[in-house]
Amino acid sequence: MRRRPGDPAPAQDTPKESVARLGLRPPISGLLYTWTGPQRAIALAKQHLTVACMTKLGFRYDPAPVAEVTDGTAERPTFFGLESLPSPASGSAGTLPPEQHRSEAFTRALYGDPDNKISEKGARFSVSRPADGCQAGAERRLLGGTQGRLPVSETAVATQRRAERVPETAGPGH
Amino acid sequence: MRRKFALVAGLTAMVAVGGAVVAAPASAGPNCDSGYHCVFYSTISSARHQYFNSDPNFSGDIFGDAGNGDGHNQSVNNNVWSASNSSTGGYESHYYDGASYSGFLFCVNPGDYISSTASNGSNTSTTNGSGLTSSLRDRASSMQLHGTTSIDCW
Repeated sequence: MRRRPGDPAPAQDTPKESVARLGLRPPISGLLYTWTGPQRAIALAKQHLTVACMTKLGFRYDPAPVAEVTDGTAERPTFFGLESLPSPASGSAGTLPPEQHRSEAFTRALYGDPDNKISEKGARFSVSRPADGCQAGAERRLLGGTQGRLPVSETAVATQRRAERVPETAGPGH
Repeated sequence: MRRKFALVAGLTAMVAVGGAVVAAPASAGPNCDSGYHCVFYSTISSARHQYFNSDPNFSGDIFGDAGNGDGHNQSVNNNVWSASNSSTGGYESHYYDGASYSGFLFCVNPGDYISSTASNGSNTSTTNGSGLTSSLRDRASSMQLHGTTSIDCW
C-alpha cells in the first residue's frame, strides 16, 4: 500500500523477529519434532515391554518417564542460520531421578551382548545399537526391527552436507 | 557419486546406497561403563570422559581415561567427536552447543553409540571419514539427561 506523506514508516522486522513470528523455527520443525498421541503410546508400550522383560529375567527396571505430548515447544535442533534463536524449554529434565550403577548382568539383560550390535555406517561416522536384550526385543515386537528412526537425523545430515562448501577443518586440540 | 548415509529398517532388511549393515567385531564395544554417558576425543576407542549425571558446562573437563591414547588429557569442551550412552534408567543423552544446555546439537539413545570412523583425530580428510559432520563435532559444551523424547536420537 502506498504511504501518504506524513504517514509513519511501517515497523520493520529484524530477521530474528521475522523468524520469531514464524514460531521460532521453520514450520517443518514442528512436524518433525512434535509428538502425536499414538507416537507417545508406542514409546510407552516399548517401555512397558522392556520392563516386563527385565522383570521376567529377575531385574527391576525403572526407566525415566516418557515425555508428554506438547504444543510443539519441545526441544528441537536448531539448524544452521537460526543458531541465534533462544532454545525452547527443556521440560522436566531437571526433576528426573539420577542414573544408577547396575551390574553387568543387568546391563546384558537390558542391552544384550555388548559384542553383538547392529551398526549403520556412513562416510563420516557409524551408529551402533543393541541387537538383542530386552530393549531391542521390545523394539522388534513393536516396530518390526531395531529402532531405526533416523529419517530426521538423516535429513539433517544430508542437508548439512549439501550446504558444506569449504573443506572441513579440525577443532581445538585436533 | 556422493556417498549417502544408510538406514536399516529392520534386522533383515537393508536400505542403503553406499552404506552397509555389519555385525560389529568383538573389539567394538561401547566403551562406556554401566550408568554412564561418555564422550570421546575421536573414535569410540580414543580418550574418554564419563558423565553419570547431566553436566551444564564441559569447561574444565578433560578426556582423562586414556583409551588408545588419542586425545588423552585434552579438554572436553568443544572437542567431542563420538558419544556413547550406557544408561541404566532409559535416559537419552542430549548434547548442547553452549553451557547451561543452550543450543541443542544431537542426542544418543540408551544403549547406542555414535563413533567417528576416523582412526586419528588429526585426520581432516573428507573422503575417509572425519567424525561427526562439521556442524556437530567440536561443539558440545554441555549434556543433559532426558527421558524418552519426541526427538529421533541416534
